[in-house]
Amino acid sequence: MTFRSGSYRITKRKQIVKSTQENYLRDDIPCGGPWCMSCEHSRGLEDSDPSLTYVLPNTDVLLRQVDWLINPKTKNVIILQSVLGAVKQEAAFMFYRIREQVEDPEKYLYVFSNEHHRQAFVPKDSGETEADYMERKTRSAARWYQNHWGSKVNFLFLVNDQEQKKQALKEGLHVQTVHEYVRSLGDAELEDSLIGDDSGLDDKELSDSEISSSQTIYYEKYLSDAEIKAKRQEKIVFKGPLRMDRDNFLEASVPVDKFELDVLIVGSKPRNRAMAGDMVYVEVLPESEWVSKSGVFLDLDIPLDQLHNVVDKAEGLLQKESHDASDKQPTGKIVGISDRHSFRRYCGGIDMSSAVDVGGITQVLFEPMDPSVPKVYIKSHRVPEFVGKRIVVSIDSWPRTSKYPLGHFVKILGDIGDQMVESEAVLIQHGIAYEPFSAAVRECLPTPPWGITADDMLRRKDLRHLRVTSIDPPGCTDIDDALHVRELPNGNYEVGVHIADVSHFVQEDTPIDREARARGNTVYLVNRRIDMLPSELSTDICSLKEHVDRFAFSCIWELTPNAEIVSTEFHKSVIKSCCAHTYQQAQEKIDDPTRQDPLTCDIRNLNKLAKILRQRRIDSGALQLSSPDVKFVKDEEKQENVDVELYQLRETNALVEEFMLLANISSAKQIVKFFPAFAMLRRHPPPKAKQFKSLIGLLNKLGYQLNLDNSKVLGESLESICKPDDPFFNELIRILSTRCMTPAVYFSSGSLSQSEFHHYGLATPIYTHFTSPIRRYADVIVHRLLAASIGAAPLPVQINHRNVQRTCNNINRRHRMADIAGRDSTRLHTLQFFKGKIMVEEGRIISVKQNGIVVLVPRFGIEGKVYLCDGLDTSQFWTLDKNTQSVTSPDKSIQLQVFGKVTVEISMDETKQHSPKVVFKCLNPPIHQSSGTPYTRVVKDKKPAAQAKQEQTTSQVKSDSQVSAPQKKEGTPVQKRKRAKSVSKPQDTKKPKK
Amino acid sequence: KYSTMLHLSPGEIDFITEGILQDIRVDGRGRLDYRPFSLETGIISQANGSARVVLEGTDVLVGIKAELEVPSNKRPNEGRVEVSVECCPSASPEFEGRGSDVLNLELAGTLERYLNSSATLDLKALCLVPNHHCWVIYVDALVLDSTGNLFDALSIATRAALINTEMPVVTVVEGTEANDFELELEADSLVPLPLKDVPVFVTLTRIGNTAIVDATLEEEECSNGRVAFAVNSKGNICTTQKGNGVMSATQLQQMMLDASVIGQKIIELMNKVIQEEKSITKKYGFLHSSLYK
Repeated sequence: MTFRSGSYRITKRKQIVKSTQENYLRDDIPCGGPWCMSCEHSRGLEDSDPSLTYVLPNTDVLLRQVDWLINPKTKNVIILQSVLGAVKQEAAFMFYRIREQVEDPEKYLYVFSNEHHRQAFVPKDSGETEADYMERKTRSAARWYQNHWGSKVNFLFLVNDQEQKKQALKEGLHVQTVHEYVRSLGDAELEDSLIGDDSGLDDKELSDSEISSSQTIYYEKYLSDAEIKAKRQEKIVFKGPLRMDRDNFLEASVPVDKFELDVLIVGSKPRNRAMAGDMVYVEVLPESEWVSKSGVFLDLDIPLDQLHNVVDKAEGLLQKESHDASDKQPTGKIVGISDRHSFRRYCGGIDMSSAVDVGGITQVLFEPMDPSVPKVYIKSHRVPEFVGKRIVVSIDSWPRTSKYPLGHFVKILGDIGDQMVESEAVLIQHGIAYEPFSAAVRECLPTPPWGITADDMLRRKDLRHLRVTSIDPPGCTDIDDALHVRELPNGNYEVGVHIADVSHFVQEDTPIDREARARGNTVYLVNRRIDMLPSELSTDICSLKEHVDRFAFSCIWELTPNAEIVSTEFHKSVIKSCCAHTYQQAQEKIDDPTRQDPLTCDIRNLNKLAKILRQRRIDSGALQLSSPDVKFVKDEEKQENVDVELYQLRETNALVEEFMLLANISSAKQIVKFFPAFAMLRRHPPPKAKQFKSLIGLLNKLGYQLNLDNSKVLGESLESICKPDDPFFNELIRILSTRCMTPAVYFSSGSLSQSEFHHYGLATPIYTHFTSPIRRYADVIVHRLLAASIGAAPLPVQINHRNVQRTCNNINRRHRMADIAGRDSTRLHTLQFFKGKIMVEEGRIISVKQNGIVVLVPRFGIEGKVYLCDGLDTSQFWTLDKNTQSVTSPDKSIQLQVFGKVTVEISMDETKQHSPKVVFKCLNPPIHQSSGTPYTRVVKDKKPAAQAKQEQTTSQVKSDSQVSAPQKKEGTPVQKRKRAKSVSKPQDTKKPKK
Repeated sequence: KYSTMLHLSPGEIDFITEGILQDIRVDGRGRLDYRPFSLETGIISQANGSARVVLEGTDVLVGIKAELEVPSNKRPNEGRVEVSVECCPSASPEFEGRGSDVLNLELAGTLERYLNSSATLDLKALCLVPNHHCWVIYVDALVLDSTGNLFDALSIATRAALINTEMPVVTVVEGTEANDFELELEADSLVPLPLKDVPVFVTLTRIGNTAIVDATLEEEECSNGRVAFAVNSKGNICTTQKGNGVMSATQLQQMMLDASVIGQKIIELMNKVIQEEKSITKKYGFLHSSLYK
């Protein structure tokens, strides 16, 4: 018997799809109980035992209480097929987690195909909503089970709230809410894993009359969908992502296309429970209520009881300033939330001072590590265990009657301050997969001992006779590039770039390929590296180590002595590196005139050509931007960071970089020529004037020009900005300009017109990534395309425009996350470094407000706020001149201006155990008193080569593209790590690898 | 002329022509009698609307699919109808390969001409956002078998399928960026197409000095002229499509008058059938549930 029904839905690509479902109703679907005599092949649940209870949860339970379900103590659960389908539609990731559980034989989860069961299935009534139908189907299946098993088996239908329970009771079902059920088991751990309570109210948006008068209402009710729709059509309400202000936790903004400036949201009430990254509906207030951005810093660290005071004060301040009509901007309030991206897991610590007892359970405030995330209320019996620990908490809901969102405890990571724990927290925070590679992935690895067969040699060009060498950072184990050069009889040079042939080992659509595609890149934290590929490949079989035969993808040019390309060839090859250098070793060879061996001459030739290439690139407008890059010098024994220093660049870094750029450009040309519709390329869009507006305005006041028309004039105008008495000034401007750039992105060539392929920072019309397939997935795709273009391998079936673009989107996102994670990791280590130290350093003011300044300390590459007065007493506020971006002290004795020099004292504030932070004090001009004896740092000489081992433990965050850029993400410090003092931004070059 | 795999002898032609002069056709019909036809709607579950018409041996299936697309540059504030007709090789060996291409285009073009008219369908109502989003009504017709009179059968099936069509309700809200619109589906509410007065074709085939309707393949073989008139419910002529042959103005006028009367009758009958069909809850699909003359 079949049953047919149809429904419409709209896809993301704005297509209307009608889907028709036919249910084949059968009589032979087993109930899952192995004791059952009336069902054939019935298994899946644990064998009957009077002590066991078999539970059937409804959709709400599964969606809300997945942590309870995956707890190993939860067993013997019947999951309905229709419930599973609903979960998949609501939250695909949860579906996969549940499915994993189903596969675990220890869990005894049984999926019952109720949609195909003749007795359990009920057809949809016309006019019935999808949700009502789902509940009816679930109840029908529960009824069937109850009748089928009778009284001899303990069967329980589980619902999430009292309302649903009432309905089920009416139909005579054995029903409990999941809370009642779990409480009856008496297990604190299981109870902790439950979200909310069974009132059914915590997820609903209550109207004023539904809230009992004893409760405080903190927030306005969200508008209904219909109201929002109407207001959007009237153009009062707009939709956009919410961004938090970094300096002021009460200010947020939503970019709306209608207005040039973002819509400002001032105060936590108008923000109405929205969090950074949420897609929100913002209602723009009438123009008379518009205000301007405040000129104060507001920190989240203001104690709880003062918060109201702070809000009032801040709002008072803003009111005063709103008369300043010149820089008023659209102001609004949040009236609804379209997508909660922010209800996920966060790492942080608990604030024990906030602990209160609520009906026998301790409620405590959880403080996330990410300052843009509000504190979260969690309830648990195990609160004392969390003290001093890094814990993971998941945010569940935010009712109108709660100042902070409600969440539940997920797990303990370890002690706060422990380096490995903190790194793990950073990884979780940014959704980076760091689990070891699965067995399926490992099966894809070549079986050792791996060797080159005669068959391999037939397909590859034998280049083992060439003098190939690699130049890498010290301690590098995943060598993905090597070089060779030789003089040709006609006076030209043959230069080859040899890249590890990863695509030979990572075949398309194998488990290892899928895993690498999902990871997107290798993530470098200060003390940890999360590989994209298993280490067998990345550090051995693929790595172009010295004195061994390795597969490579070679790009070989014939260059004139003037570095003009005569011809380009690509080959799959076999090479044997004759020597693996560090940058320093190679540099020493170049610099030592007594060395005349062939290899040294090769490096000198390469260097000569690289210099010409570099000059040509700079002439054509490649940008030289900057941001301070630091590395930590680690004490091997104490496992502590003993010093921070800027990354040192040598000529050889530039040498390698230059040829890598050339190889990337050549491969980009090759793949676009052969596959114009889906070549994977990388572009860097020109900067947006909006981003540069404030910097340009400021520079104009100081008498400098910054021209954005193209990278060449921008480069020239950057060059022209300097103060003779201040050598660092130019560097500072470069750092700030770098932050205003838009990031470079991967894309499929079919998605844009040729003119948009341009890479602004490198000033090249076309660019891609070819040279680091071990640590970037984009390069793997480029290798596959290249191999297909030279006929070395067929074009993989999955490579088409849609898939390439999809992969691009994923790796762009992964890239950004890896970047932020790297930065967070550096920040954590900076914190570690300042532990117990007080240091005095010179800093630069990069922004000023009425109650504070932001100071960048170039030596450590960190920035911090210096508060000019205590608290929010407006009488102590300094006078801010927005035109010149300067502040003057109330007694007019001190004036601070952007770009000005200050001497700051840096120390660590550990008064709050769960969130230690770095504090800045300004010593010159004398605003604060020094709080102790400055720590004197051990000044080290340039490290000799023998100290390479120590350098191994240093780390430095990679730079992605030449100028690639500051993340525009709000709430996280916009800080792109670039090597300081670089002539042109190094990119695609090396980073130290452990 | 189509489907000419038939080879009639001069005697047969004479027999058919003489009979028609005396108002008796080979199958016993008078000159202006239609063959009985069966009509069924809503038989393709994935389509927005569908209908099948079996006119004795002529078997036509029409599926309607409404899709959201970008309006054409010429008419930025209107939706449109796109018709494709496919004559299956099962209908005639001549349709094998590309054999039916010319006929497919002729049939589709003619149907499209009267469907893409604001007298037939409120095209403006099909536009959601001028220049950005509009409904495109795809009419896909399949000729499964043919014993003549394809035009009429196709137009009847198309009309029935359009009436049968249900469209989901879409509301438009301006999105986060300019020229970006969010489309939302109103759950569970379906509306019919904004139809005005959809005509049907009545083809008159001239044999000897008189004209007949609903010609069979044999009769088409004997014809010396053919005109298809699209007639709406008021009996107005909406479109004409003249095939081969020559005819005098008076003859044409007479044919037009006949078509007008017959067309009105067909529409009336159709409306009645479709109305009756609504009361049938259990559908079997592809079964001729009833026959109407």
